[in-house]
Amino acid sequence: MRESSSKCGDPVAMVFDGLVHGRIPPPGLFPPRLLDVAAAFSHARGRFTPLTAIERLVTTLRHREPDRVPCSPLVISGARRLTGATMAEFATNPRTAADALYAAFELIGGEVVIPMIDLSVEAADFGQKIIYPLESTAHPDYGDPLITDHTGYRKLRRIDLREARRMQSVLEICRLLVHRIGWRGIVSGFCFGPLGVLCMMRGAENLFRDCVLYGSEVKAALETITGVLVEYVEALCGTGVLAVTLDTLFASSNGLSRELWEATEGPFVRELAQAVHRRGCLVGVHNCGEGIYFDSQIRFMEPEIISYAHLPADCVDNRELKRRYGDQVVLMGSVDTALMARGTPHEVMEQCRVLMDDLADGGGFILAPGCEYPPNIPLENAWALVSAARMCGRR
Amino acid sequence: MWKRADQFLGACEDAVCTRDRELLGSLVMQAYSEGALPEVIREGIIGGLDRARGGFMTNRVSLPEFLLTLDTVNYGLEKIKDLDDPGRDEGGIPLVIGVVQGDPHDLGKNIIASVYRAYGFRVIDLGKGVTVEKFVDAVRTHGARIIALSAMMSTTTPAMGEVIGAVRSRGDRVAVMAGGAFIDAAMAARFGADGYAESAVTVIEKTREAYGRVFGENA
Repeated sequence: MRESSSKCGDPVAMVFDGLVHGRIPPPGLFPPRLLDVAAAFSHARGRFTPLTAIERLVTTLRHREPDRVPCSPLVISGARRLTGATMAEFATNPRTAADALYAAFELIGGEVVIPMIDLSVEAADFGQKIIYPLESTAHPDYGDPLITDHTGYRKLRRIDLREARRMQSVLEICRLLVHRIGWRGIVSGFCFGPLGVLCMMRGAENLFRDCVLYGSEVKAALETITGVLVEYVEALCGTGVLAVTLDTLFASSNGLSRELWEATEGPFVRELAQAVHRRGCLVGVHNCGEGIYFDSQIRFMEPEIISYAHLPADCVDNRELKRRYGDQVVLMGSVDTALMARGTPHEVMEQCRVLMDDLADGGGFILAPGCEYPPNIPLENAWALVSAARMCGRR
Repeated sequence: MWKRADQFLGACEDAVCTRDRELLGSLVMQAYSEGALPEVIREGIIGGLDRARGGFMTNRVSLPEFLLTLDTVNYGLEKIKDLDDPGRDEGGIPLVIGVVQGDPHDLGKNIIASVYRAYGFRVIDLGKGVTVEKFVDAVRTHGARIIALSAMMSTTTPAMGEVIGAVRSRGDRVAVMAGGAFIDAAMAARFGADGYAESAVTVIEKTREAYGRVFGENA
């Protein structure tokens, strides 16, 4: 958590406003020392009695050990299986999505809910044609990209967030979830990073080439997109979520080189992170790429949480990851999603146990899959993950 | 003129690794005009690709750089073809490649198809979102001896098993390679694939191994 509440505007008024509306005030509005005292108290109390979800999270976010490891099964579009909705309905109807996500929170459990509906939300509002399959994830019509060549980057026009149908839909989902979940967990908004949004409008293969060959054109488009995304993350914070997760997939060896990412997307995601911090909310980073650049992302975004699937290139195992970065960010992950898809609940619980042994000492760890729970598989392994946190997560 | 063949090969490799199309083009032209065999020129280009694949494996070469390297390789190989005999059919072992039905992500498949082409396979690229029937028909139509399947989503990966099952049920003798974001060697084997490749770094060697197991000869 940021060590300053001065950039939050009028923190007292914002805390008061949150409480009046029955919402948890953004954690960045509280003096860090107060949070440390609360965490120390919860750490002590957690040895004898179960903590509430909020106590558990605050304790772990302040790098103290709570009563047990908090978790999030990241059941997102898979949650529709609980309410009988199709993927297309989940992606296009905010109430349907909120109902499903709330059902998953109630029935499966976990302390953190991230309504990452799909990665086409922002691009759709910029005008990219999107396909909504009935039983698979929404995606751009790759045969009809909005940006067809490198000259298209400078033609991209800023959009009005008020008329952005899909982003407004996600804002509505966040409002509904914050209201329903109340103090029983935290909701994090989700925003695809500007390079990811651009990828949805240009196609990955072309964008990768263009980042090298037409860097200034790409940056012109990133500037346009970031202008809208800053408004979007501020609006997400306004829904009462306590965190906003930024997806920076390209800051990994599956994306750009470290130098190219820092020169291309880095400055723009810094703007997004600063906008979130100004509202007192936490910044989460989600990156399910391989060999992700932890240090670069920490430098540019100063996140409180990093959700990851694979180890960064500078760590050989999770224990080294904890040693190197565990005091800088809360680590969230990294149960193998392929294991979630094909493993038994017993195997999932065993991997969870190993992760908690490696990462949970001293707090600062949230057990979760490395990426979204696979949407079209049975949910028993999500229960296994939550059960592992409950049964084996005591330190 | 180069005093030694290895000087030419080294120059070609460098041009590929620095992604310098113009230089590679002029090297190819010069070598051809001096009577070098197309196979020798090709060897130089593939040497560069070998180096780039090694760099890709160790993250010294990024994905965008690798894509541009492949563009350079393809440019060089096209140049050789144009100079040698533009009308001649591509040789090589016929290989059908595609992304399974319901999956729109073809970046990985495109990279692998380019690598296969560069190493001399005759690639029939069916694109993305390919149905089981289309894969099965393509094997017969093109006399394919290898099928390379890609899927990048958890929701579409099981379709690989359907393709493999359909091909096997028709009794076609074909080596099946599988790859993608959500699959590993064990899952590929469970689907009935003959081989699995994690990335462009290993795909040629793994494919040759699988081909050798199925046909008892080198690819």
